[in-house]
Amino acid sequence: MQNGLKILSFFRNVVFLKWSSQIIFLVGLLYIIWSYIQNAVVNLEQTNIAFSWGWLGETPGVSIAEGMYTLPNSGRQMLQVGMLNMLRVTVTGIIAATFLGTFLGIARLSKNYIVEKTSTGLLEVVRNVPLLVQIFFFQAFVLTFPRLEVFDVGTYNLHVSAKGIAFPWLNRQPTAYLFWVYLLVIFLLANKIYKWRVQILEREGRETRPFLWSVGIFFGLLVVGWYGGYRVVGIIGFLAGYISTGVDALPAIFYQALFSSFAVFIGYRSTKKFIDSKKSEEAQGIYSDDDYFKIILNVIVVLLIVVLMFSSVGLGLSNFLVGDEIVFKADWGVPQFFDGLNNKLYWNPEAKMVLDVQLDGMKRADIIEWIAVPGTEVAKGDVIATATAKDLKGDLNQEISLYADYTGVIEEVFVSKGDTVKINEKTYDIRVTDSKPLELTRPRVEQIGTTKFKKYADGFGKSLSVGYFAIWLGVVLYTAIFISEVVRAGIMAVSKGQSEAGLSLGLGRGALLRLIVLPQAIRVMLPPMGNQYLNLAKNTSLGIAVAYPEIVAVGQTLYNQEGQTLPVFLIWMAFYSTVSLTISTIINYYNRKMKIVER
Amino acid sequence: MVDLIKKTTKTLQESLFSSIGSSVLTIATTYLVINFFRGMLGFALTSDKDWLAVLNNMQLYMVQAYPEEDFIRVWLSVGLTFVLAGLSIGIWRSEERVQSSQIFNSFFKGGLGVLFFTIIAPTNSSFMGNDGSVVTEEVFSMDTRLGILIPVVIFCTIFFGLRFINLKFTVNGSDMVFFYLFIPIALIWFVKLPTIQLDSSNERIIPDPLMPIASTTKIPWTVIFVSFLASYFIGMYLKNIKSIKSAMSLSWFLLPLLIFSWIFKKPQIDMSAVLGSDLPIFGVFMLWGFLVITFVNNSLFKKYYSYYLGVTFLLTLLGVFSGLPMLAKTCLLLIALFSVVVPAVSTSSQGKRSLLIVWAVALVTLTFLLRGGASDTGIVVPGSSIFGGFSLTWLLAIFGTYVSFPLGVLLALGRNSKLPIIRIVCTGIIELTRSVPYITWLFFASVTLAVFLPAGVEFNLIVRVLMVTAFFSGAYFAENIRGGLQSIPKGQYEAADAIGMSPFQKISLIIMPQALRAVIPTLVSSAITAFKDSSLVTIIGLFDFLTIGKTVIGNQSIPVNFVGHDRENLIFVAIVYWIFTFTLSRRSMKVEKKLGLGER
Repeated sequence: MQNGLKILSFFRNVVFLKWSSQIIFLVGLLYIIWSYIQNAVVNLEQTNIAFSWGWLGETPGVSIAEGMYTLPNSGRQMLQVGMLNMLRVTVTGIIAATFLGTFLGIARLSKNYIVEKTSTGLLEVVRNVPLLVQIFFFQAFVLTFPRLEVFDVGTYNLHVSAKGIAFPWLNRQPTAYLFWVYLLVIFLLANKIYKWRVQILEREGRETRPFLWSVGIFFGLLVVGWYGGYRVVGIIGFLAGYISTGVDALPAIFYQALFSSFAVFIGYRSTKKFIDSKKSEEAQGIYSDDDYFKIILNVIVVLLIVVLMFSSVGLGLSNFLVGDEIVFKADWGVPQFFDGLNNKLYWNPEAKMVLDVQLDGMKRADIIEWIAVPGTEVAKGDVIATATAKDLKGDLNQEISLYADYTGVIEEVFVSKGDTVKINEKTYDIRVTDSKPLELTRPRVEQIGTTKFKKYADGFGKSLSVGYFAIWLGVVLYTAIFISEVVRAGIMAVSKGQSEAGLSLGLGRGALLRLIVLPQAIRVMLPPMGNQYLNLAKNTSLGIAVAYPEIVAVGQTLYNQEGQTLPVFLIWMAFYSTVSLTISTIINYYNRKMKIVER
Repeated sequence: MVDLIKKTTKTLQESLFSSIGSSVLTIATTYLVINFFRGMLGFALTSDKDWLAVLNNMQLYMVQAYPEEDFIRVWLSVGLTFVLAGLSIGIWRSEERVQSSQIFNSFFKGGLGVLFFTIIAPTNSSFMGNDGSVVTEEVFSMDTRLGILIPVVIFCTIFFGLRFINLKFTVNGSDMVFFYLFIPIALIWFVKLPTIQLDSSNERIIPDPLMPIASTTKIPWTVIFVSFLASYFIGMYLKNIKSIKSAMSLSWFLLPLLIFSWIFKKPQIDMSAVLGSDLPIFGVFMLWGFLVITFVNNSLFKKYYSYYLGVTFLLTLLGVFSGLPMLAKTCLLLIALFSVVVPAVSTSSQGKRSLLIVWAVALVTLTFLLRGGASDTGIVVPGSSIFGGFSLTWLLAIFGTYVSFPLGVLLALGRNSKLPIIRIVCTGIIELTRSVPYITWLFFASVTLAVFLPAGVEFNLIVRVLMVTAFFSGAYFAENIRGGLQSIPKGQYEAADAIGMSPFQKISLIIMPQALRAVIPTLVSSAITAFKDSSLVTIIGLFDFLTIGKTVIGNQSIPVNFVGHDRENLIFVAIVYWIFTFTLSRRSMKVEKKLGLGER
């Protein structure tokens, strides 16, 4: 009897019950997952498509309609194009949707009857129709325009056809990267100056005109930059060249050790912090079972990361970073990164030249004569050399021209008579100086060789393909409508007393909105706004419906080729999680920054 | 009258032309809006649009290739839904009255809308011909314009004039539903529209002869309307019967299951299996449940209750991994869960009775579903999709919500749980599911899911899509419900603990009702999103409503050539989606107001 009671009390121990039930749950879950994986292994064996990542390094043999590379040399590069295409829509879409949404949100609060009703009507239409239907409709709209014909070949200010929409655009020259970094630097500088002037204003109480100061300095530096001043940034590329040589020597084990020690450090710090918090007067150093679990979990996670880093996974990752990765043809290593910086952010960066486009099946060309010697000024599209194009075997010969891809003065040429240049690869063949960072060009319709295909020429103006236009307009309009609701709710959340107080101080409508209402409204708006951005990022995946090659469409093409559905799905998951995490981190950062400072 | 004009002018001036900026905005917006509608009307009326591409394909839109001899199943399902709706409206009939002036006003406003469109409609419109040249033609002649304008003006004047006559009455708000439904039913019988007719050599007769719309379906629709009306009156009569409301809720809960098995499958049930294995299993578990319900609060039973639970769990564990038939395994799991719940509810005789009913209904449903699901279907269709069109869209939306809601509740509770491992697992599931777009989950369902299933087990694509949809919407529901759970003050939990409630009672009687009530608006908007998102299945090749409009009709060349008419169909699809989502969101707003959410 005594014995039986003891057993009973053991089974009635809350801590025992709690943890035993959880462990049973976990074991059951792991068993289920394991059995499904077992199923997958058996099924895949039967269909002769074993799970592998090898296809990432193989040439997929399909082309992509638009993007960084249209003829990717590996599955990895193809996915990279898809990711960049997705990010292109997401980033530009977020900016456009924010502006449009804010505008519509304010319009909905307008006292003007017609403005208010119109924006409400737009809201009710866009919000209640599935996004996919809208995207299909925009696609159908562009497809009603006639196809490109032979008589269309030429240069235009604006051109619309079933191929898409083209308009003039500031196209980037090789020095554009320098200029963008320069812009960022002077923007931060102007921001600092604004804060500095505001500080003086608050301390001394005299009018310091912070806005005028910062804007004046920004535009002054902008003008200086446009006429060549931006080349100061070239110092980064100069330094990156030396760093590149330095990091080239680092072995893979360095990165493995770096990451594992980082994990150990983070784990140690968070555990220490937790233990310290337990030592406080309130907690009195008493540990509950949950606290022990937390500490054990920390240790397990850190150990897992360390083990993973020194396993084949960690070695593979480190090989990527070293730049020695050959299986997946990856060029994402740390030395390559600094090499790239050295190239792009040098005072006179290296530039590409293009070969004649009439090159079906041709892989390389031998230079016959070099026309544009160093010191010549060339415009985009000028002939700079003549060459003989050959296919891989060298059987087919054809005389062609090479064109400059950028406008500027040629400083250095890396090829000479008799040299071979590759086609459709990122090779840099000349060095240019004295080019404007951006050049305004008009769209041009060209015929591809002697074939009957017509298209908008790359690098002339900007052409939006039908897919891009449809998906971009679709997600922007759809998200903007939801953002307008967020903005409206945010503004309405600011109590009326606030604006009345502002009015009674004699503030104008603009100043009232800028100084009183918006700063308070943004606090309410930020979290739901972040959700809308996440939705926008996820909705870009509908591009597949209108043949826009973003990551989902590209992934589908790849698994149709290789049959590897599971790895592709894992890549989708990893990519979208990364994008979502990035967006929510940024939003959280601003959210914390905007929070009311409570005293 | 003069006062009215003065007042109107003043309000107009104040709201539209209060300042220069405001006036500019007014004029610019008006210009934009009018031009937009002119463009849309011109687009719709040009002769290169064939709206019969929409009208002639209603059957495709509704059920796609579902065999005609089995249409009675679809009609019965629709009818049953309407009957249940009628009963519910009758039982929950509101006492809200609608003023006659409100009704007249809405007619007047509708007339004004028609007037507006008639006036701004463009006389000429142009479109791009096949050879790329621009064709301009007259689309809206003066005669037609006057022909519409005059009766509409008279219509408007009458309803405007009714304001000044002392004609006041009120109508019950629920009755108005029938009035609004009566109009389309009457239209079906009397309005004639052009239809496509083929002559002996299979050529389309031009101009299209006039026929009453819905000539083949007007009788079923009328019958449904009449039974809807009848069930409304029956509902009003049944109103005062005790526990009729819970019975109605239960029937709504069971209806989708019934319709699903009814339309999706014409089960070819093997009667010997039913008699040989299903009935005995059903009997055993029915008896077991009955015994538990009756004796659970008996003092002797109570003493050994924990031993009973232990034995039941052990039996369940053994049973699930044994070779018992599927029905017995599921019933064992069910009785184990049921035994945990019973002592909390089975305290009064009424509670016992309702528990018994719930148990019986659950067992019957389970038996029916498992047997029906395992048997072959008697419906033969070309292709792999049993049905498509609007029924598929509707099925995905309803089942998406139906299956994912309980899952969402469980995940939300798990994420809010005090048990760390369960919390981590639930958080992981929710976040992983939400991080990826729906379309990738659909691809997972269509190509990857089959890899994980044991050899020999195959599900129809629709079922696989439903499985991932349950998880996907479930994760979103879970996040919504978690918001509600977080809004419950700690005192509520403590109060429930203080009066000695079990954890199950605490969650089901105190916490969940308050949490769900707080998040009704977000739940409805999630359901609307699920309805809209169901259109994505068009990308993985299911024949839903959108696919029919976009792809199927756009490629139809027999018997009549509709190639290239996908814009008309897209507009029609958009309008139908709009009507459903708009109505749903307006309804939810009303419910929200009625519950007084956001006011406290």
